[in-house]
Amino acid sequence: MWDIAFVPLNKLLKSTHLRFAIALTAVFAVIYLLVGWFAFLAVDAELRERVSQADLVTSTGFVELYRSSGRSALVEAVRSSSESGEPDDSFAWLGTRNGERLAGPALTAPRSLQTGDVAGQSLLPELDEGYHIQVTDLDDMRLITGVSHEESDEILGLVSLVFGAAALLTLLLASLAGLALARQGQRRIDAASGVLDRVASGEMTRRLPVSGSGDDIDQLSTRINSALDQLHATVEGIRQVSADIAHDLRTPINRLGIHLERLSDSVGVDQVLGPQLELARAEVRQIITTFDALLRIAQIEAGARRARFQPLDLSEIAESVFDVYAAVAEENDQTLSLKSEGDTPARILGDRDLLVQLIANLIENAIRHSGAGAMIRVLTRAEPDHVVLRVSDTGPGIPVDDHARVLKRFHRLDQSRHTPGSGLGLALVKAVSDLHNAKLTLKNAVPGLWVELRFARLCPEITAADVNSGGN
Amino acid sequence: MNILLVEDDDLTREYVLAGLRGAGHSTDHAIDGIDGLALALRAAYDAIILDRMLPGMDGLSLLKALRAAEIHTPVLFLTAIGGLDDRVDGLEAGADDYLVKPFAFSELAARLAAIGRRPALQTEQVRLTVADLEMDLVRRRVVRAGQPVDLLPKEFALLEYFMRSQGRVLSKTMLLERVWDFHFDPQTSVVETHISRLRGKVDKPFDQPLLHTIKNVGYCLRAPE
Repeated sequence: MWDIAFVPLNKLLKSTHLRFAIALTAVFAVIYLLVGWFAFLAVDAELRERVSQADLVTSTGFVELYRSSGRSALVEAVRSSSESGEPDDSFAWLGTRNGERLAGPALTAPRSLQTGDVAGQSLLPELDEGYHIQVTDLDDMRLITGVSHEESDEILGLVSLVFGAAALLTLLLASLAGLALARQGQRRIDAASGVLDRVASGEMTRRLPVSGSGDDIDQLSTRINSALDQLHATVEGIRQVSADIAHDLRTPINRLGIHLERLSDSVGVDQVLGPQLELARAEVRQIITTFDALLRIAQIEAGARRARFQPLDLSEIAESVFDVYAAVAEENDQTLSLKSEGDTPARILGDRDLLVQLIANLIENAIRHSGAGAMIRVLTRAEPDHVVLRVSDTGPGIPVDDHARVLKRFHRLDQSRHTPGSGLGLALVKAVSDLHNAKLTLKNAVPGLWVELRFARLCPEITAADVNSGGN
Repeated sequence: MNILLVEDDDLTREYVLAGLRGAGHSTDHAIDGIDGLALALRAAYDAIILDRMLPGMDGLSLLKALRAAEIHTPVLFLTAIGGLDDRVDGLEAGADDYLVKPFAFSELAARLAAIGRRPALQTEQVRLTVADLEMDLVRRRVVRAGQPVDLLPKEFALLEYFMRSQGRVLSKTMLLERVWDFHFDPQTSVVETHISRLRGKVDKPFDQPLLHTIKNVGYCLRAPE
């Protein structure tokens, strides 16, 4: 389950899931340490209490022996206890109040000792553990009993070890579980953003996966899906309306054309009506040209065309369009030149038919508006990340203030109203440019117009098969 | 030719039928998709002209049903549906050509002639000849009256299309689509310029012109009578 897809670490670090996992693990660790510290203190206090109790019991035993059996019995009992017992664990010492030893180990400074915890070295140089000692004065004698903390220290050590190991193991498992959950969550988010990318690229029927668990991501996915349904319905609606308009407008225009043709057939070679009818037929053709251009721009703007994108070489397309127009420019006393720069192929992802029309529109614009003697240059340049297409001419150009306006539908500069054309040429260029996510710039070439498009260059590894089979 | 027309608009149907009969074709017609399919399945036609938006059954479904029934009669869509992808959809469904309304009858006739006479199995031709004009498709060479004619690659493609369609009229849009892969109307005289260049090389230096302008329709390459 955990290794279906590899999620890169740098991406994972930005994942909300992983951040939650890390934060949660950290909080967990802090709580664990605090609780552990209190537990440690409690166990430590309890063990120390028990040691001091044990010491008191030993001491009380000796005192009772002294009270019942007298001095010599006590001396004998202390001596035998220090011979039989392990001096490291516990000891008993008996001496005079002045510190002269009667029985037990040779303590360094018996006179200065007081009841409580002391370090082993203050009793005997060779002892290194802590001790609890009980000091009892019996008439002219002093009884000192001591119990080592060694055992309780060992228990505490063991407790700490077990606790620490458990803490480490828990943290490790929590981190792993967090990472795994983060990967799973990230995969769902990646899958979702992949689907959204595909929708943006024109595959309107794609939807986010819904796991059925009803969790927050599922709820979000369901909402996004219903928004996508609405978007799809809107786009389909536009398409349907376009088709309906197309049918309802084209059919009467078609009939008008038929009527006009019949009329001109029956009129024959009438000197007056003949040319008039021919003008009317030309108007019909112009209506349909404009109508087609508008419909085409609307369809391009709808974006569904992206679904048919293919890897292409832009310089190869520019060359094929150049081949068509070099002769046309020459007939107009203009020079059309083509240049292709860059060592790498000018590969982009796009729609060949539309790019052909885009380049053709730019060249035709230059041919029609730049006048006789003009130089028209077509340039393609492959840069590491971009492919640039530029068409520039040495004609009158377009005033800078009008640059944004000429890209809009039906905008034609006043001085060009007498030349043929629908006023939609550059609007179509803009629509095709936007469809390809290219950056379109108009500049003054002083003199002339300079139109530049920057496309994202396609990595050479991607093939048409990758583009079309993606996601299946 | 024996031609079936499936078209629901009365005026368009009469206009096309009158034109076809005037050109010497025999015709059948249907007003809706279901009748159209029945006719197409029953009789053998040389070509079918098909509207897309039809009552009963739309043209695209009709064509798919026809192709599914292994009937490969050439089909030309004559339709008001002229969106960007619609032409591709039509051709992918198995149509041989796609003409968007409004249309001129001459354009329809030219396209019909091109698909109707297409040989069922085209054997690979090596040499094309029209009168004293010869084209060697393997060595990509053109000779007229024994003299070599030097052509650019696209001029060669243009002439090849004319020679393969000799005697038939090719419209401007047919040339744009076939030779230059242009699926839009250029605003400059692209076709005229290239035809004039081709004439300069193929016709001008010789006595008899082969490439003729057919007014308001297109161009035709034919041997002198």
